[in-house]
Amino acid sequence: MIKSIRTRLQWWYSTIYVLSISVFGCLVYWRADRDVHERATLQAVATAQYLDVGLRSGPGQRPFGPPPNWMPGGPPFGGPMPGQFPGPMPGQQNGPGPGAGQGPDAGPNGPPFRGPGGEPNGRNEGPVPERRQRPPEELGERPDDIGNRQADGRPQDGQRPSGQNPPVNGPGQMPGNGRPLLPQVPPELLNQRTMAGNEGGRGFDRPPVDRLEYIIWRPDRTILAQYVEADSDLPNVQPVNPMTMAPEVTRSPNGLQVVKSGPFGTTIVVRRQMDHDMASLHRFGMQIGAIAAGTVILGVVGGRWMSGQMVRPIQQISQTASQVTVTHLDRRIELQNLDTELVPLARVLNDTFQRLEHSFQRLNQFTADASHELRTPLAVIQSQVELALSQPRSAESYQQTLETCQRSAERMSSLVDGLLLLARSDSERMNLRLAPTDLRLIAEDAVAQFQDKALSLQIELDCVTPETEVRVSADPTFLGQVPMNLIQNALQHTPEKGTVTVQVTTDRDSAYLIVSDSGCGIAADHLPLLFDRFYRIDKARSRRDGGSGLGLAICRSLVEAHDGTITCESTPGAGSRFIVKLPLASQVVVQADRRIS
Amino acid sequence: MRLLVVEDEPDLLRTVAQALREDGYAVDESPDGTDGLFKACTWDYDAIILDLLMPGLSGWDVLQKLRQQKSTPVLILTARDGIGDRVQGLDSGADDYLTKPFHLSELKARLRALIRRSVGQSSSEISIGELLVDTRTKTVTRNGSLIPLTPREYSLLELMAMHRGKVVSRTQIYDHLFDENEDSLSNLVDVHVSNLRRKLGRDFITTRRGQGYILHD
Repeated sequence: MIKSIRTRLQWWYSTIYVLSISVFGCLVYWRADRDVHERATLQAVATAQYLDVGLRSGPGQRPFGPPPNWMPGGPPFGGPMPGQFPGPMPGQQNGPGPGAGQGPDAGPNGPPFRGPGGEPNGRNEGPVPERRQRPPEELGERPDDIGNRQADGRPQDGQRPSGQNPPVNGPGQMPGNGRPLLPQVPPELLNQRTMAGNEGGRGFDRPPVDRLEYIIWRPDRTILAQYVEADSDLPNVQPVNPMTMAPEVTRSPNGLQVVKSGPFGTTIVVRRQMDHDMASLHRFGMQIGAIAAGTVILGVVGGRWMSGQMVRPIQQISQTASQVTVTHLDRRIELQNLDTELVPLARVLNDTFQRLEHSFQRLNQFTADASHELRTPLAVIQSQVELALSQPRSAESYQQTLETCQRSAERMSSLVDGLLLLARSDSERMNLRLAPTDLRLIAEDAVAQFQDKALSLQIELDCVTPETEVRVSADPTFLGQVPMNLIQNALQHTPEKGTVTVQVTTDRDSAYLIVSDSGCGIAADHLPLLFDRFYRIDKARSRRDGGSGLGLAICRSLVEAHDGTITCESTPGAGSRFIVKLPLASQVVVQADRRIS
Repeated sequence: MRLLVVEDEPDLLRTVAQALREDGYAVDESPDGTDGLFKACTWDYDAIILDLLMPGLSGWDVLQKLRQQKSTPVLILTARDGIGDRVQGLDSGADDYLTKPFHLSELKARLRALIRRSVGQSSSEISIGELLVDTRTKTVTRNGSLIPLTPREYSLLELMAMHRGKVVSRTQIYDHLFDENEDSLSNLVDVHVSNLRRKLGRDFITTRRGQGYILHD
């Protein structure tokens, strides 16, 4: 199976193209072949018919019916052939000389055909010179005589070795009436064809044509009349008497053969060579073949070009797509001039690039933020230490320096922890150990840890939990960080005398951990971005307090690792509520070692 | 020489300012961009140290707005070290770039270079007649022998030397010698000038009545 669209297209195109041309060519050739054969057949059959008619009408004028002096079985069939009619040229063919005037059938039998006289001896008015050819001048021309055409009938037939000359007309022709004994095949029937061989001076005027021969056999298998080539084998072919009156057409390698039974038991055999016709037909066939060969090349080349055109938009898309690299994520495929079938594909690709670009931007942003967050405390430590060491200082000065360094180190440490946690959750390697846990305990633990701080800030920190166990599937170490983070945030953002409440509730399927405060609240604009990494509403403040902007992002990661959700509601100036929703333990399949998806 | 440090990280701000003060500079501090821009446009600092990532008005904005008004040398200090940021910073008008964490010594050296360049001086040593002012070691020598000066006196001398041949007004001297937090009397300048004259020689600094002082080449 060819894998390339282009090659497939190309081959289909060329195959269809070549097939159509070939079929067409074959059709045309077949038609031509049929035409040629039909025409040849018609010609041969017409000749046979004509001969038949001529036989019936004899030297007389009437084309129908037997001549009055013909008797079946009589002399017309017995007598020797006075001459060859219209056999080959006496001088050229195997016929005898002018004096002989006999064809191969010359023999004891006299000329079967006579003039109107009928009897071999007396059919015509004049004597019948049996073996003598009539000198041409003895013959007149009766334009109304069928077959009497030698003078003007065959002006071009100079090469015709067959007899069109008066001698050919045989002794049957009397000077008096000049009517031929045997009809001659008029030239137009033979279509002005010359014999093959083209000897003679007239050869250049006419193209070579196929020859037409005939023999009329007597019932006793002698030749009554013939018109054959010198080297023809037609006389040797004894025809089988046709069964029907209709002419029988057979094809032989020698050409076309028409056999017809003539009057009085004669058999008319007409043979038409097909050499030239077949030759020209073959030439025609070759031309068609050449054209077909040409179309093969055209088909292949044209197919290649055309398929290239088809496939080009696809290649352009691939090219654009390959140009999209990390540094050039803003490249997009142009939809405007694109083919309609490719537009959906291009759209999908563009969307993918868009999301990739977005992802990369977020990643870059995160990396920049992370590096900044880590580098700043490092810079503090660096410069503090350098300053302290630059000259002798007081003990307090050193102490202050050390404290600053410690603070910075702690800050960096928590930042690193947070970053690692997020990195792990990103790469699904958090390794939580989930077990049925009471959510109330987690909440109470966190509250306990911050009581002192809350007191120092004069903020009321409460914990509200239900009487019954709230079972969730959790890893307390990790999940415990969530309320701690939230409480810390709440304490930071609540003024003195405010309240922070940690509440645990349930409904049918879920457990809730809610941390609410009466602090400054969060503007609606910030809410969707609140849980993003490094997102800070008030950057200055959290910087001083040591926050890094990762707290809420970590909360979200942890909560989602436990199959839960975390949301925030807030009213600026009044307070905020952070709601953690977790599935109750009966809903969750507990796994000992769980990876986050 | 008077400097401005704009940095939102308080510990770092404090440390850098202290280090520079100990080096004899008058240093103004700014914890955010807005305050920093205001100060930068109000006074003629010899150099400004500017952090890029700050809440509110970022370092980029401060730089852009500052460059519309003043050509004070600016050294950018930031944790971002991507090549794009460096190029953008320098193209936006900064004169130098230093990434965190940095060495204070490097910061000081770069500041010295910046200030030197801004007065058209190519070497860190200025020689005036027999005097040789070494801005690196912050000392003055005459024919190789050290002349002891207080930090203030040295600063004054350095300032005059940097602008030698030009008249420096008393206000200018004041502005470049004391930072915003010092609430000194303006005649302190005269005191320092006379001290310098005493130590260096009468003819070095001339008074131009009504205009200021001038240090001759």
